[in-house]
Amino acid sequence: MEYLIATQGLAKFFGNVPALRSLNLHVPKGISGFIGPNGAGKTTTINILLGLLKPDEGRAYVFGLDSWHDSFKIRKRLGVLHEKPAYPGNFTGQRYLEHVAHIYGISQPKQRAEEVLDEVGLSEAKEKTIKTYSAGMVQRLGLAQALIGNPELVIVDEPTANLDPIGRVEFLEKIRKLHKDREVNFFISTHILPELEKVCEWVSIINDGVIVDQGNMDSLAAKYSASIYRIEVSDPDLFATRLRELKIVEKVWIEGNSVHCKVKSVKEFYGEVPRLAFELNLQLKSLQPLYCTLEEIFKTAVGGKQGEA
Amino acid sequence: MKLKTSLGRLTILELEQYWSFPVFEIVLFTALLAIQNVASTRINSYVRDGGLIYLILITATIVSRSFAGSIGRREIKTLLSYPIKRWEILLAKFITNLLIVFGILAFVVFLNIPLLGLDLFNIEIYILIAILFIQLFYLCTIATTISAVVKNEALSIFVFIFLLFGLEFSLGPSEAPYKYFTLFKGNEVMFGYITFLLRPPQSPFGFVEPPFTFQEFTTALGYPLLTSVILLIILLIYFQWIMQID
Repeated sequence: MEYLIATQGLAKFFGNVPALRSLNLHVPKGISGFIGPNGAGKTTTINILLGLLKPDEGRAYVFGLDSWHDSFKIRKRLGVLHEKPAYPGNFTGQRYLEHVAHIYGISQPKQRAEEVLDEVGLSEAKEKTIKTYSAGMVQRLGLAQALIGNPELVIVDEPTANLDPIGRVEFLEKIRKLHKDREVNFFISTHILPELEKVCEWVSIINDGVIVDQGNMDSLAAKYSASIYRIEVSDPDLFATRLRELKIVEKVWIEGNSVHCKVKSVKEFYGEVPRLAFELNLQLKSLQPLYCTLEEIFKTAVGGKQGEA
Repeated sequence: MKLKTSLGRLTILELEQYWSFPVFEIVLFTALLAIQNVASTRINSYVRDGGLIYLILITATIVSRSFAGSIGRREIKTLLSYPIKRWEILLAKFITNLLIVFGILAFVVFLNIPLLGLDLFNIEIYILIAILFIQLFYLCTIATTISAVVKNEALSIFVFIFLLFGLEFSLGPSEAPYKYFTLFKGNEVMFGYITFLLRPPQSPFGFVEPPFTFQEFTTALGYPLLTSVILLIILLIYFQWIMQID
Protein backbone atom coordinates (compact mmCIF):
# COMPACT_ATOMS: atom_id res chain seq x y z
CA MET A 1 0.00 0.00 0.00
CA GLU A 2 1.23 3.51 -0.83
CA TYR A 3 1.32 5.77 2.20
CA LEU A 4 1.15 9.57 2.18
CA ILE A 5 2.56 9.68 5.68
CA ALA A 6 4.85 7.13 7.28
CA THR A 7 6.91 7.27 10.43
CA GLN A 8 9.54 4.82 11.65
CA GLY A 9 10.33 4.55 15.34
CA LEU A 10 9.57 8.23 15.90
CA ALA A 11 10.46 9.54 19.34
CA LYS A 12 10.32 13.02 20.83
CA PHE A 13 11.18 14.13 24.32
CA PHE A 14 10.46 17.42 26.05
CA GLY A 15 13.15 17.42 28.69
CA ASN A 16 12.90 13.96 30.20
CA VAL A 17 9.22 13.61 29.36
CA PRO A 18 8.57 11.40 26.34
CA ALA A 19 5.88 12.81 24.05
CA LEU A 20 6.34 10.12 21.39
CA ARG A 21 7.87 6.68 21.92
CA SER A 22 8.76 4.70 18.81
CA LEU A 23 5.74 5.82 16.85
CA ASN A 24 5.03 3.90 13.65
CA LEU A 25 2.26 5.72 11.83
CA HIS A 26 0.99 4.87 8.35
CA VAL A 27 -1.53 6.99 6.50
CA PRO A 28 -2.80 6.05 3.03
CA LYS A 29 -4.66 8.23 0.52
CA GLY A 30 -8.23 9.20 1.43
CA ILE A 31 -9.65 10.66 4.63
CA SER A 32 -7.77 9.39 7.64
CA GLY A 33 -8.43 9.94 11.32
CA PHE A 34 -5.71 10.31 13.91
CA ILE A 35 -7.38 9.75 17.23
CA GLY A 36 -6.18 9.70 20.78
CA PRO A 37 -6.88 11.25 24.17
CA ASN A 38 -5.58 14.70 25.10
CA GLY A 39 -1.83 14.59 25.60
CA ALA A 40 -1.42 11.37 23.59
CA GLY A 41 1.04 13.01 21.18
CA LYS A 42 -1.19 13.94 18.22
CA THR A 43 -0.09 17.58 17.91
CA THR A 44 3.56 16.68 18.50
CA THR A 45 3.33 14.16 15.66
CA ILE A 46 1.77 16.79 13.38
CA ASN A 47 4.41 19.35 14.33
CA ILE A 48 7.09 16.82 13.37
CA LEU A 49 5.35 16.06 10.07
CA LEU A 50 5.33 19.80 9.29
CA GLY A 51 8.99 20.23 10.14
CA LEU A 52 8.23 22.46 13.12
CA LEU A 53 9.85 19.98 15.48
CA LYS A 54 12.85 17.75 14.89
CA PRO A 55 12.44 14.14 15.98
CA ASP A 56 14.87 12.93 18.63
CA GLU A 57 14.80 9.41 17.21
CA GLY A 58 13.38 7.81 14.08
CA ARG A 59 12.18 9.39 10.86
CA ALA A 60 8.95 10.85 9.54
CA TYR A 61 8.10 10.91 5.85
CA VAL A 62 5.40 12.84 4.03
CA PHE A 63 5.02 12.06 0.30
CA GLY A 64 8.16 9.96 0.81
CA LEU A 65 10.18 13.06 1.80
CA ASP A 66 11.95 13.51 5.12
CA SER A 67 9.85 15.83 7.29
CA TRP A 68 12.77 17.79 8.79
CA HIS A 69 15.22 18.01 5.87
CA ASP A 70 12.67 18.35 3.05
CA SER A 71 10.10 20.39 4.95
CA PHE A 72 9.93 23.15 2.34
CA LYS A 73 9.21 20.69 -0.50
CA ILE A 74 6.55 19.00 1.62
CA ARG A 75 4.83 22.29 2.48
CA LYS A 76 4.49 23.16 -1.21
CA ARG A 77 2.20 20.14 -1.59
CA LEU A 78 0.44 20.43 1.76
CA GLY A 79 -2.29 22.47 3.44
CA VAL A 80 -2.56 22.77 7.21
CA LEU A 81 -5.29 23.80 9.58
CA HIS A 82 -3.82 24.06 13.05
CA GLU A 83 -5.60 23.63 16.35
CA LYS A 84 -7.02 27.00 17.48
CA PRO A 85 -5.61 28.77 14.43
CA ALA A 86 -4.65 32.46 14.66
CA TYR A 87 -4.86 34.82 11.72
CA PRO A 88 -4.25 38.58 11.75
CA GLY A 89 -7.50 40.03 13.01
CA ASN A 90 -7.31 43.34 11.16
CA PHE A 91 -7.24 41.65 7.73
CA THR A 92 -10.38 40.82 5.79
CA GLY A 93 -10.72 37.15 4.90
CA GLN A 94 -10.26 38.03 1.23
CA ARG A 95 -7.10 40.08 1.81
CA TYR A 96 -5.47 37.48 4.01
CA LEU A 97 -6.12 34.73 1.48
CA GLU A 98 -4.71 36.89 -1.30
CA HIS A 99 -1.45 37.09 0.66
CA VAL A 100 -1.44 33.32 1.15
CA ALA A 101 -2.13 32.79 -2.56
CA HIS A 102 0.84 35.02 -3.39
CA ILE A 103 3.01 32.93 -1.07
CA TYR A 104 1.94 29.75 -2.89
CA GLY A 105 2.92 31.45 -6.16
CA ILE A 106 -0.61 31.44 -7.59
CA SER A 107 -0.86 33.60 -10.71
CA GLN A 108 -4.29 35.12 -9.99
CA PRO A 109 -4.40 35.41 -6.21
CA LYS A 110 -7.54 37.53 -5.97
CA GLN A 111 -9.55 35.16 -8.10
CA ARG A 112 -8.21 32.09 -6.27
CA ALA A 113 -9.04 33.67 -2.88
CA GLU A 114 -12.60 34.25 -4.04
CA GLU A 115 -12.85 30.67 -5.29
CA VAL A 116 -11.81 29.06 -2.01
CA LEU A 117 -13.93 31.45 0.04
CA ASP A 118 -16.89 30.38 -2.06
CA GLU A 119 -15.90 26.74 -1.65
CA VAL A 120 -15.97 26.94 2.15
CA GLY A 121 -19.12 29.08 2.21
CA LEU A 122 -17.49 32.30 3.37
CA SER A 123 -18.16 34.50 0.33
CA GLU A 124 -20.59 36.80 2.13
CA ALA A 125 -18.09 37.53 4.89
CA LYS A 126 -15.07 38.01 2.66
CA GLU A 127 -14.90 41.79 3.21
CA LYS A 128 -15.36 41.54 6.99
CA THR A 129 -12.30 41.64 9.22
CA ILE A 130 -11.22 38.30 10.66
CA LYS A 131 -11.61 39.55 14.24
CA THR A 132 -15.38 39.79 13.66
CA TYR A 133 -15.63 36.13 12.55
CA SER A 134 -17.33 33.50 14.71
CA ALA A 135 -15.44 30.31 15.70
CA GLY A 136 -17.07 28.43 12.84
CA MET A 137 -16.13 31.13 10.34
CA VAL A 138 -12.51 31.15 11.54
CA GLN A 139 -12.45 27.39 11.08
CA ARG A 140 -13.81 27.74 7.55
CA LEU A 141 -11.23 30.43 6.81
CA GLY A 142 -8.63 27.98 8.13
CA LEU A 143 -9.89 25.39 5.69
CA ALA A 144 -9.80 27.97 2.88
CA GLN A 145 -6.16 28.91 3.56
CA ALA A 146 -5.27 25.22 3.72
CA LEU A 147 -6.89 24.59 0.32
CA ILE A 148 -5.67 27.67 -1.51
CA GLY A 149 -2.47 26.08 -2.84
CA ASN A 150 -4.35 23.09 -4.34
CA PRO A 151 -2.70 20.66 -1.89
CA GLU A 152 -2.55 16.90 -2.29
CA LEU A 153 -2.96 16.48 1.44
CA VAL A 154 -4.54 18.64 4.12
CA ILE A 155 -3.53 18.08 7.74
CA VAL A 156 -6.21 19.17 10.19
CA ASP A 157 -5.50 19.32 13.91
CA GLU A 158 -8.54 19.18 16.22
CA PRO A 159 -10.84 20.87 13.69
CA THR A 160 -14.07 20.48 15.61
CA ALA A 161 -12.91 21.21 19.14
CA ASN A 162 -14.27 24.79 19.18
CA LEU A 163 -17.43 24.09 17.21
CA ASP A 164 -20.95 23.30 18.35
CA PRO A 165 -22.44 19.92 17.28
CA ILE A 166 -24.04 21.37 14.14
CA GLY A 167 -20.82 23.15 13.22
CA ARG A 168 -18.89 19.90 13.64
CA VAL A 169 -21.17 17.97 11.33
CA GLU A 170 -21.11 20.76 8.73
CA PHE A 171 -17.33 21.00 8.86
CA LEU A 172 -16.78 17.28 8.42
CA GLU A 173 -19.37 17.16 5.66
CA LYS A 174 -17.39 19.88 3.87
CA ILE A 175 -14.27 17.73 4.17
CA ARG A 176 -16.11 14.69 2.82
CA LYS A 177 -17.38 16.72 -0.16
CA LEU A 178 -13.91 18.15 -0.90
CA HIS A 179 -12.45 14.67 -0.95
CA LYS A 180 -15.22 13.39 -3.19
CA ASP A 181 -15.21 16.30 -5.64
CA ARG A 182 -11.52 17.23 -5.74
CA GLU A 183 -9.79 14.12 -4.41
CA VAL A 184 -8.05 16.08 -1.67
CA ASN A 185 -6.65 13.74 0.98
CA PHE A 186 -7.23 14.64 4.62
CA PHE A 187 -5.45 13.65 7.81
CA ILE A 188 -7.67 14.65 10.71
CA SER A 189 -6.42 14.62 14.27
CA THR A 190 -9.08 14.71 16.93
CA HIS A 191 -10.32 13.38 20.23
CA ILE A 192 -13.98 14.02 19.34
CA LEU A 193 -14.98 10.82 17.66
CA PRO A 194 -18.71 10.40 16.94
CA GLU A 195 -18.77 12.56 13.81
CA LEU A 196 -15.42 11.37 12.52
CA GLU A 197 -16.46 7.81 11.76
CA LYS A 198 -18.89 9.10 9.15
CA VAL A 199 -16.07 10.51 7.01
CA CYS A 200 -12.99 8.45 7.81
CA GLU A 201 -11.76 5.55 5.73
CA TRP A 202 -8.64 4.90 7.78
CA VAL A 203 -7.95 5.37 11.47
CA SER A 204 -4.73 5.47 13.45
CA ILE A 205 -5.10 5.32 17.22
CA ILE A 206 -2.43 6.90 19.38
CA ASN A 207 -2.09 6.63 23.13
CA ASP A 208 0.77 7.66 25.37
CA GLY A 209 3.05 8.38 22.40
CA VAL A 210 2.62 5.08 20.55
CA ILE A 211 0.28 3.81 17.85
CA VAL A 212 -1.91 1.22 19.52
CA ASP A 213 -3.75 0.21 16.36
CA GLN A 214 -4.38 1.42 12.81
CA GLY A 215 -6.22 0.22 9.77
CA ASN A 216 -9.25 0.92 7.64
CA MET A 217 -12.51 1.48 9.44
CA ASP A 218 -14.14 -1.75 8.29
CA SER A 219 -11.31 -3.99 9.38
CA LEU A 220 -11.01 -2.24 12.75
CA ALA A 221 -14.77 -2.47 13.33
CA ALA A 222 -14.72 -6.17 12.49
CA LYS A 223 -11.69 -6.75 14.69
CA TYR A 224 -13.15 -5.06 17.75
CA SER A 225 -16.85 -5.88 17.30
CA ALA A 226 -16.22 -9.58 17.60
CA SER A 227 -15.10 -9.29 21.15
CA ILE A 228 -16.97 -6.38 22.77
CA TYR A 229 -20.09 -6.98 24.80
CA ARG A 230 -22.55 -4.92 26.79
CA ILE A 231 -24.02 -6.49 29.88
CA GLU A 232 -26.91 -5.06 31.87
CA VAL A 233 -27.13 -6.35 35.45
CA SER A 234 -28.76 -5.14 38.64
CA ASP A 235 -25.39 -4.09 40.20
CA PRO A 236 -22.93 -3.11 37.45
CA ASP A 237 -20.11 -2.07 39.81
CA LEU A 238 -20.06 -5.38 41.68
CA PHE A 239 -20.36 -7.34 38.45
CA ALA A 240 -17.53 -5.38 36.79
CA THR A 241 -15.25 -5.96 39.76
CA ARG A 242 -15.74 -9.72 39.60
CA LEU A 243 -15.63 -9.78 35.81
CA ARG A 244 -12.13 -8.28 35.85
CA GLU A 245 -10.92 -11.30 37.79
CA LEU A 246 -11.81 -13.66 34.92
CA LYS A 247 -8.90 -14.62 32.67
CA ILE A 248 -11.08 -14.73 29.57
CA VAL A 249 -11.87 -11.01 29.93
CA GLU A 250 -9.30 -8.53 28.64
CA LYS A 251 -10.81 -5.17 29.62
CA VAL A 252 -13.81 -4.04 31.57
CA TRP A 253 -15.40 -0.60 31.80
CA ILE A 254 -18.72 0.91 32.79
CA GLU A 255 -20.79 3.20 30.64
CA GLY A 256 -23.99 4.50 32.21
CA ASN A 257 -25.64 1.50 33.88
CA SER A 258 -24.01 -1.07 31.62
CA VAL A 259 -20.85 -3.06 31.97
CA HIS A 260 -18.74 -3.18 28.82
CA CYS A 261 -15.99 -5.68 28.26
CA LYS A 262 -13.60 -6.99 25.69
CA VAL A 263 -13.21 -10.73 25.85
CA LYS A 264 -10.52 -13.14 24.75
CA SER A 265 -12.65 -16.27 24.43
CA VAL A 266 -16.23 -15.69 23.23
CA LYS A 267 -17.28 -19.33 23.69
CA GLU A 268 -16.38 -19.47 27.37
CA PHE A 269 -17.64 -15.95 27.96
CA TYR A 270 -21.26 -16.88 27.12
CA GLY A 271 -21.15 -19.53 29.83
CA GLU A 272 -19.33 -17.45 32.42
CA VAL A 273 -21.62 -14.38 32.46
CA PRO A 274 -24.84 -16.15 33.59
CA ARG A 275 -22.82 -18.25 36.05
CA LEU A 276 -21.25 -15.14 37.59
CA ALA A 277 -24.59 -13.32 37.78
CA PHE A 278 -26.13 -16.31 39.51
CA GLU A 279 -23.19 -16.59 41.91
CA LEU A 280 -23.50 -12.91 42.87
CA ASN A 281 -27.26 -13.17 43.06
CA LEU A 282 -27.70 -10.42 40.44
CA GLN A 283 -30.39 -10.07 37.85
CA LEU A 284 -28.93 -10.45 34.34
CA LYS A 285 -31.09 -8.19 32.16
CA SER A 286 -29.22 -8.45 28.86
CA LEU A 287 -26.02 -9.62 27.24
CA GLN A 288 -25.32 -8.48 23.72
CA PRO A 289 -22.39 -8.07 21.33
CA LEU A 290 -21.86 -4.48 20.31
CA TYR A 291 -21.84 -2.95 16.92
CA CYS A 292 -18.45 -1.29 17.14
CA THR A 293 -18.46 2.48 16.77
CA LEU A 294 -15.24 4.43 16.37
CA GLU A 295 -15.59 5.54 19.97
CA GLU A 296 -15.80 1.94 21.12
CA ILE A 297 -12.87 0.91 18.95
CA PHE A 298 -10.92 3.79 20.46
CA LYS A 299 -11.86 2.95 24.04
CA THR A 300 -11.02 -0.67 23.61
CA ALA A 301 -7.75 0.06 21.86
CA VAL A 302 -6.53 2.53 24.47
CA GLY A 303 -7.73 0.38 27.33
CA GLY A 304 -11.16 1.80 28.07
CA LYS A 305 -9.53 4.60 29.99
CA GLN A 306 -12.25 7.17 29.44
CA GLY A 307 -15.11 5.12 30.74
CA GLU A 308 -13.37 2.56 32.81
CA ALA A 309 -14.68 2.15 36.30
CA MET B 1 4.15 25.69 -9.65
CA LYS B 2 7.16 28.02 -9.52
CA LEU B 3 7.62 29.82 -6.22
CA LYS B 4 9.23 33.22 -6.16
CA THR B 5 10.83 34.45 -2.96
CA SER B 6 8.21 35.35 -0.40
CA LEU B 7 10.29 37.96 1.42
CA GLY B 8 8.61 40.95 -0.22
CA ARG B 9 5.11 39.53 0.23
CA LEU B 10 5.80 38.66 3.86
CA THR B 11 7.14 42.16 4.53
CA ILE B 12 3.96 43.67 3.05
CA LEU B 13 1.86 41.30 5.17
CA GLU B 14 3.79 42.28 8.29
CA LEU B 15 3.51 46.00 7.51
CA GLU B 16 -0.25 45.72 6.95
CA GLN B 17 -0.59 44.07 10.36
CA TYR B 18 0.71 47.27 11.98
CA TRP B 19 -2.52 49.06 11.14
CA SER B 20 -3.92 47.28 14.17
CA PHE B 21 -1.12 48.52 16.40
CA PRO B 22 -2.26 50.93 19.15
CA VAL B 23 -1.85 54.16 17.24
CA PHE B 24 -2.98 56.31 20.16
CA GLU B 25 -0.13 55.10 22.36
CA ILE B 26 2.40 55.90 19.66
CA VAL B 27 1.02 59.40 19.18
CA LEU B 28 1.14 59.94 22.94
CA PHE B 29 4.70 58.70 23.04
CA THR B 30 5.63 60.98 20.17
CA ALA B 31 4.02 63.96 21.90
CA LEU B 32 5.95 63.23 25.10
CA LEU B 33 9.23 63.22 23.21
CA ALA B 34 8.31 66.41 21.42
CA ILE B 35 7.45 68.27 24.64
CA GLN B 36 10.65 67.08 26.24
CA ASN B 37 12.70 68.25 23.32
CA VAL B 38 11.46 71.80 23.53
CA ALA B 39 13.82 72.24 26.46
CA SER B 40 16.75 70.97 24.42
CA THR B 41 19.16 73.19 22.64
CA ARG B 42 20.55 70.79 20.08
CA ILE B 43 18.77 68.21 17.96
CA ASN B 44 20.86 65.24 19.16
CA SER B 45 20.42 66.09 22.83
CA TYR B 46 17.04 64.37 23.06
CA VAL B 47 18.93 61.08 23.22
CA ARG B 48 20.99 62.31 26.15
CA ASP B 49 18.00 64.03 27.75
CA GLY B 50 16.09 60.80 28.13
CA GLY B 51 14.91 59.89 24.65
CA LEU B 52 17.04 56.80 25.01
CA ILE B 53 14.49 55.38 27.44
CA TYR B 54 11.77 55.68 24.80
CA LEU B 55 14.05 54.25 22.15
CA ILE B 56 14.61 51.11 24.20
CA LEU B 57 10.99 50.84 25.32
CA ILE B 58 9.46 51.18 21.89
CA THR B 59 11.95 48.75 20.32
CA ALA B 60 11.25 46.24 23.08
CA THR B 61 7.49 46.57 22.63
CA ILE B 62 7.37 46.43 18.85
CA VAL B 63 9.92 43.67 18.31
CA SER B 64 8.66 41.46 21.12
CA ARG B 65 5.06 41.89 20.02
CA SER B 66 5.94 41.06 16.45
CA PHE B 67 8.27 38.15 17.09
CA ALA B 68 7.76 36.53 20.49
CA GLY B 69 4.09 37.59 20.34
CA SER B 70 3.53 35.79 17.06
CA ILE B 71 4.96 32.63 18.61
CA GLY B 72 2.65 32.98 21.62
CA ARG B 73 -0.39 33.73 19.45
CA ARG B 74 0.53 30.74 17.21
CA GLU B 75 0.60 32.98 14.13
CA ILE B 76 4.12 31.83 13.38
CA LYS B 77 2.96 28.21 13.24
CA THR B 78 0.54 29.16 10.49
CA LEU B 79 3.26 31.04 8.61
CA LEU B 80 5.72 28.17 8.98
CA SER B 81 3.15 25.81 7.48
CA TYR B 82 3.20 27.72 4.20
CA PRO B 83 5.92 27.14 1.60
CA ILE B 84 8.11 29.89 3.01
CA LYS B 85 11.72 29.50 3.99
CA ARG B 86 12.23 30.17 7.67
CA TRP B 87 14.87 32.83 7.08
CA GLU B 88 12.35 34.75 4.97
CA ILE B 89 9.95 34.98 7.92
CA LEU B 90 12.76 36.13 10.20
CA LEU B 91 14.04 38.76 7.78
CA ALA B 92 10.54 40.00 6.89
CA LYS B 93 9.74 40.53 10.56
CA PHE B 94 13.14 42.10 11.22
CA ILE B 95 12.91 44.53 8.29
CA THR B 96 9.33 45.49 9.19
CA ASN B 97 10.18 46.13 12.83
CA LEU B 98 13.23 48.17 11.91
CA LEU B 99 11.21 50.25 9.46
CA ILE B 100 8.38 50.83 11.94
CA VAL B 101 10.62 51.84 14.85
CA PHE B 102 12.80 53.94 12.59
CA GLY B 103 9.72 55.58 11.03
CA ILE B 104 8.40 56.58 14.45
CA LEU B 105 11.73 57.99 15.58
CA ALA B 106 12.35 59.81 12.32
CA PHE B 107 8.88 61.30 12.74
CA VAL B 108 9.81 62.46 16.25
CA VAL B 109 13.01 64.04 14.99
CA PHE B 110 11.21 65.88 12.19
CA LEU B 111 8.48 66.97 14.60
CA ASN B 112 11.21 68.65 16.62
CA ILE B 113 12.52 70.70 13.73
CA PRO B 114 9.90 73.47 14.02
CA LEU B 115 9.86 73.17 17.82
CA LEU B 116 13.59 73.86 17.98
CA GLY B 117 13.44 76.46 15.25
CA LEU B 118 15.89 74.50 13.11
CA ASP B 119 16.33 74.67 9.39
CA LEU B 120 15.05 71.62 7.47
CA PHE B 121 18.34 71.53 5.58
CA ASN B 122 20.42 71.45 8.73
CA ILE B 123 22.91 68.61 8.19
CA GLU B 124 22.84 67.68 11.89
CA ILE B 125 19.29 66.37 11.50
CA TYR B 126 20.34 63.88 8.86
CA ILE B 127 23.47 62.85 10.73
CA LEU B 128 21.34 62.12 13.76
CA ILE B 129 18.86 60.09 11.69
CA ALA B 130 21.69 58.01 10.22
CA ILE B 131 23.15 57.37 13.68
CA LEU B 132 19.72 56.49 15.02
CA PHE B 133 19.28 53.99 12.21
CA ILE B 134 22.55 52.24 13.15
CA GLN B 135 21.57 52.18 16.82
CA LEU B 136 18.07 50.91 16.01
CA PHE B 137 19.56 48.19 13.84
CA TYR B 138 21.62 47.15 16.86
CA LEU B 139 18.63 47.31 19.22
CA CYS B 140 16.33 45.42 16.84
CA THR B 141 18.90 42.63 16.41
CA ILE B 142 19.25 42.19 20.16
CA ALA B 143 15.48 42.35 20.71
CA THR B 144 14.84 39.79 17.94
CA THR B 145 17.49 37.44 19.36
CA ILE B 146 15.94 37.64 22.82
CA SER B 147 12.44 37.10 21.38
CA ALA B 148 13.57 34.03 19.43
CA VAL B 149 15.21 32.51 22.49
CA VAL B 150 12.62 33.47 25.13
CA LYS B 151 9.53 32.96 22.88
CA ASN B 152 7.36 34.89 25.34
CA GLU B 153 6.24 38.45 24.65
CA ALA B 154 6.20 39.87 28.18
CA LEU B 155 9.36 38.08 29.26
CA SER B 156 11.31 39.16 26.20
CA ILE B 157 10.32 42.82 26.80
CA PHE B 158 11.54 42.50 30.38
CA VAL B 159 14.81 40.75 29.46
CA PHE B 160 15.56 43.27 26.71
CA ILE B 161 14.94 46.31 28.92
CA PHE B 162 16.88 44.76 31.78
CA LEU B 163 19.82 43.93 29.50
CA LEU B 164 19.95 47.27 27.70
CA PHE B 165 19.62 49.44 30.77
CA GLY B 166 22.08 47.12 32.52
CA LEU B 167 24.61 47.70 29.74
CA GLU B 168 24.02 51.47 29.79
CA PHE B 169 24.45 51.77 33.54
CA SER B 170 27.31 49.30 33.94
CA LEU B 171 29.41 50.32 30.92
CA GLY B 172 28.54 54.03 30.96
CA PRO B 173 30.89 55.03 33.82
CA SER B 174 33.67 52.60 32.72
CA GLU B 175 36.89 53.37 30.86
CA ALA B 176 37.38 53.49 27.11
CA PRO B 177 36.69 51.55 24.96
CA TYR B 178 33.83 49.99 26.97
CA LYS B 179 31.95 53.23 27.54
CA TYR B 180 31.64 53.65 23.77
CA PHE B 181 29.59 50.46 23.65
CA THR B 182 26.68 52.28 25.27
CA LEU B 183 23.96 53.93 23.20
CA PHE B 184 24.31 57.15 25.18
CA LYS B 185 28.06 57.63 24.70
CA GLY B 186 28.11 55.99 21.28
CA ASN B 187 25.58 58.46 19.95
CA GLU B 188 27.54 61.38 21.39
CA VAL B 189 30.85 60.19 19.87
CA MET B 190 29.43 59.43 16.42
CA PHE B 191 27.46 62.67 16.28
CA GLY B 192 30.32 64.80 17.61
CA TYR B 193 32.93 63.30 15.29
CA ILE B 194 30.85 63.48 12.09
CA THR B 195 29.58 67.01 12.67
CA PHE B 196 33.14 68.11 13.43
CA LEU B 197 34.36 66.62 10.14
CA LEU B 198 31.57 68.19 8.15
CA ARG B 199 31.59 71.54 9.88
CA PRO B 200 35.00 72.12 11.51
CA PRO B 201 34.77 75.07 13.87
CA GLN B 202 36.80 78.14 12.91
CA SER B 203 39.39 79.30 15.45
CA PRO B 204 41.66 82.32 15.39
CA PHE B 205 44.37 80.08 16.96
CA GLY B 206 44.52 77.71 13.98
CA PHE B 207 43.94 73.94 14.18
CA VAL B 208 41.10 72.75 16.42
CA GLU B 209 41.27 69.31 17.94
CA PRO B 210 38.24 67.13 17.14
CA PRO B 211 36.12 66.31 20.23
CA PHE B 212 36.78 62.60 19.73
CA THR B 213 39.58 60.62 18.10
CA PHE B 214 39.17 58.47 15.00
CA GLN B 215 39.71 55.38 17.15
CA GLU B 216 36.90 56.42 19.49
CA PHE B 217 34.67 57.03 16.51
CA THR B 218 35.40 53.60 14.93
CA THR B 219 34.78 51.93 18.29
CA ALA B 220 31.45 53.71 18.72
CA LEU B 221 30.41 52.90 15.14
CA GLY B 222 31.97 49.45 14.83
CA TYR B 223 30.60 47.93 18.04
CA PRO B 224 26.87 48.16 17.24
CA LEU B 225 27.40 47.31 13.56
CA LEU B 226 29.62 44.31 14.20
CA THR B 227 27.44 43.03 17.05
CA SER B 228 24.32 43.37 14.89
CA VAL B 229 25.79 41.56 11.90
CA ILE B 230 27.17 38.69 14.02
CA LEU B 231 23.90 38.34 15.96
CA LEU B 232 21.86 38.45 12.76
CA ILE B 233 23.95 35.66 11.20
CA ILE B 234 23.62 33.53 14.35
CA LEU B 235 19.89 34.28 14.44
CA LEU B 236 19.41 33.27 10.80
CA ILE B 237 21.28 30.00 11.36
CA TYR B 238 19.32 29.31 14.54
CA PHE B 239 15.94 30.14 12.99
CA GLN B 240 16.59 28.29 9.73
CA TRP B 241 18.09 25.07 11.03
CA ILE B 242 17.78 24.78 14.80
CA MET B 243 14.73 26.51 16.27
CA GLN B 244 11.78 24.25 17.05
CA ILE B 245 8.21 25.50 17.35
CA ASP B 246 5.90 23.51 19.58
